[in-house]
Amino acid sequence: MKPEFDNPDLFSFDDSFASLYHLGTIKKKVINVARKDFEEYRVFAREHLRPLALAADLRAQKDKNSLADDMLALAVKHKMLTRMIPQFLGGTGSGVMWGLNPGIEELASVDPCYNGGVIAGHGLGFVALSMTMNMERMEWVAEQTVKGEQEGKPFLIDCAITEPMAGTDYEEVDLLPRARLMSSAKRVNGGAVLNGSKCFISSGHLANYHLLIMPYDINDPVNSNGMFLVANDAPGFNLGRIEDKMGMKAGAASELVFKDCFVPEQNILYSYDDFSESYAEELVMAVLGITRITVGAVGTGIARGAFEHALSFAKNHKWKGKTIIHQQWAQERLTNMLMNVYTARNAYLEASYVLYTTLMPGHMPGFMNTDIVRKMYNNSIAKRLRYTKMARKAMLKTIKSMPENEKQRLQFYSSMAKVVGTDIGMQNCHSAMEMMGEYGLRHDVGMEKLFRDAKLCQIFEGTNQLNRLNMFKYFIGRNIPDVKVFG
Amino acid sequence: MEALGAKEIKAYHDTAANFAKKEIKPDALEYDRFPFADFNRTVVDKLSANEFLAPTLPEALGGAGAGMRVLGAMLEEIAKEDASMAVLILIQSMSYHILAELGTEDMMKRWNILPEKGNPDLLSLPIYSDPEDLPDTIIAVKTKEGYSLKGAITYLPCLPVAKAAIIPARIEGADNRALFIVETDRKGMAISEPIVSLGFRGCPHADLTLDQVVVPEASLLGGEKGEAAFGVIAEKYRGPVSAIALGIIKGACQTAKNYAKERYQGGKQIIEHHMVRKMLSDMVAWIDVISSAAEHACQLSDNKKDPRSRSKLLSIQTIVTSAVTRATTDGVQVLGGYGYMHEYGQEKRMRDAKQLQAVFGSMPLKEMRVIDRDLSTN
Repeated sequence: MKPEFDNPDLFSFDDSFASLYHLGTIKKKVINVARKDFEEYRVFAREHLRPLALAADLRAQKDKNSLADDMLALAVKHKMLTRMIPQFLGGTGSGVMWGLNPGIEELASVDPCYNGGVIAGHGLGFVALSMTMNMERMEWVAEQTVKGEQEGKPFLIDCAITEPMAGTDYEEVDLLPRARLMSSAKRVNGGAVLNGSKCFISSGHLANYHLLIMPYDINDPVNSNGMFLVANDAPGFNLGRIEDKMGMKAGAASELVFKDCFVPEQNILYSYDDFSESYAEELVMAVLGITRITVGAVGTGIARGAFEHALSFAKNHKWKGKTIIHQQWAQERLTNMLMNVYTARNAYLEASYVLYTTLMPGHMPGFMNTDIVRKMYNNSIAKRLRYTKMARKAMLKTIKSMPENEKQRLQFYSSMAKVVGTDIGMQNCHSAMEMMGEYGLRHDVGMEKLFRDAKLCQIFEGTNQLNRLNMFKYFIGRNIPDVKVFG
Repeated sequence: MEALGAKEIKAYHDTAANFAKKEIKPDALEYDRFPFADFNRTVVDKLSANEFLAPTLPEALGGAGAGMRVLGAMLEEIAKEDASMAVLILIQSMSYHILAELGTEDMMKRWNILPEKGNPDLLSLPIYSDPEDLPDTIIAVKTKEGYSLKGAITYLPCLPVAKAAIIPARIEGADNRALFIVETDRKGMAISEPIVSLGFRGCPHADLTLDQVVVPEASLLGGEKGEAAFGVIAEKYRGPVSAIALGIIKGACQTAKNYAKERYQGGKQIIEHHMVRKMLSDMVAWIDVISSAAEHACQLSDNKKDPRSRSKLLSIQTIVTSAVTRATTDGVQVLGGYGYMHEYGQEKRMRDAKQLQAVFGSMPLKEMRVIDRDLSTN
């Protein structure tokens, strides 16, 4: 039997050259905006974040329950939280693709823990919130974030998905039906009541509100999902323990405990039966499609940080009387590390282009992306209109109605950005540590912290193993009838 | 050195394993928080009482006179529970070995690793340095009393809890480094605060600065041949380094296997997921290979007849320690989020394995030298 070549559905032009699509659509001014964002993130990272990073890690080593209040205060002082909020909602966010992700890379190159441990929850939570198209709550959280920064008091949300017995299972729609869940919601008069617990939740102990996903029927989570916003002081809610982690130490990984925790109707962000059809699956895939790309940027930043450590070491240390940077073995190693950084960046950049030619702006309601909107937006009639169920349904439908091949493209590219970025981050850390020998083992140098921080990125947002299966399902399996993935 | 049979080696394995399980395992994770937890002096005293602290000390000096196969067997079992203690034992064995070979009998009487004293004297030496290229950062000037030492040396393991340190210093006018043993409480010795490290945290590390530290003639070990002698002795300990690596990967694999059979995701035990299965298979395969390699390396140290001995000792150490860094990274991955949590003991192994990779010089330098040693054999 002859081998099959030239598969018509693999490596199509549309699947391969998303960036080319953008050549015609990006306005020139976007470059200026991107450059400005990049420079501002760089200044924040290098001048303000770097001095705190090592000390925060050490403090958490001494006492795992210490919280990164200083980092959060710094974020508020420099208005970094509102950079995650789009401009039409009163924030300063210029765009996920050109503003946020390169900025996240910049931050991660100095301290991945700030991203992965301190502000991650707010970013992830806000994206999750956005995808419910619950405009009223989304605007309220945005408003609180902006107000908080104006008043110098951080307003933070977290995003709680993981349960003690369901980690990977909660990160993939196909696995969720088989998950061993322990937490569920129950409808009551005026709202819902939650019971159970979430674990490993980034910044749980820093958050004012907790965004969580919980099923109404524990035996059928996919078809009975709900998303809720729980106040930190809600009756029946308690913060549990903070984990003692290998790295990302300054960021709390919190346990959230719900015992008949009442959530008022207003804070039920999404319920499976809000509409005649379910949007849960698309909602989750959209959230992951966006946020996994950002995790790829975190990994790229880590790869960069490791490279910078190795470069500095090579310039300032000698072997057998000769400075290491002049030696070919070091030049090879450094070049491999630099190639890795650019490879990782290409992965998340291309994934960002895919995002912008699929979910946004094409299938986010067009009005969200124009300047006119902001003026219209605060019109009270417009407000009342978009808070209606009808408007919500219309917006959710646009996500659901994304063509299948666009959904596949987004899933493949975002998982790839995540895996490539974080695997490369870990690889570069291994390589830098090898080069630096004893010097790299010391906390006060900062490289071993990066090594410890890097590992978590291969695990959260879906392990890199899970993300590979996601990629297989959407780009390879899609053309093979009856293929079993997650079997 | 008599050739030990499999039964005798197994006996050493069993004794060390029982000790490790009973005395080291219960508190290993807690002491891993050093310097935010104490140094486990209790276990060190017990190791000494059981003659585990420097088993290679010659019988003539009251030691067990054990070879590297025995040391390797013990270090493997100890490292399964706590690599910090394993490397501490390695350092004490090597330090006392150096003293025994290069020091005078009088001078030997000053330090004691053995149980009679009840409180063993720990020594320190630069285990992360390339044995063929010791740091050239301390100068020794000949004086009336002996020598005056000035300079600094970084990251010495055991220094914060050591009675003395074996350090390299260049005698003024000489080409090579000499070796000195210097009490940590001599005037002019400044020991830094304990350094927070990636791994081996149960074994405290510190930097050392010497400001006109006066030492007697007897402190000079091995005369002008100090550096060369250090190199020769260090070679023997490459086998035991691989044995520590073996203990670490065995511990990581056991934890990973146990978890993979208990954790359900996707409706089945995660060991049924092929990607997890592959990682576990990799670890098992590496254990099988490293078991042979580490045993062989320890045998090479005990028996100098193999002409490729020097080449093999380096290549085995390089490959084995690198493999274990990758295997322990996967070991954490198998446990998912729990692998990242201190209390599961798995992330500690990833850190300890990475720390181990830096023993006897950084990885790239070892890589460069393997071919040199191979070529110089033929």
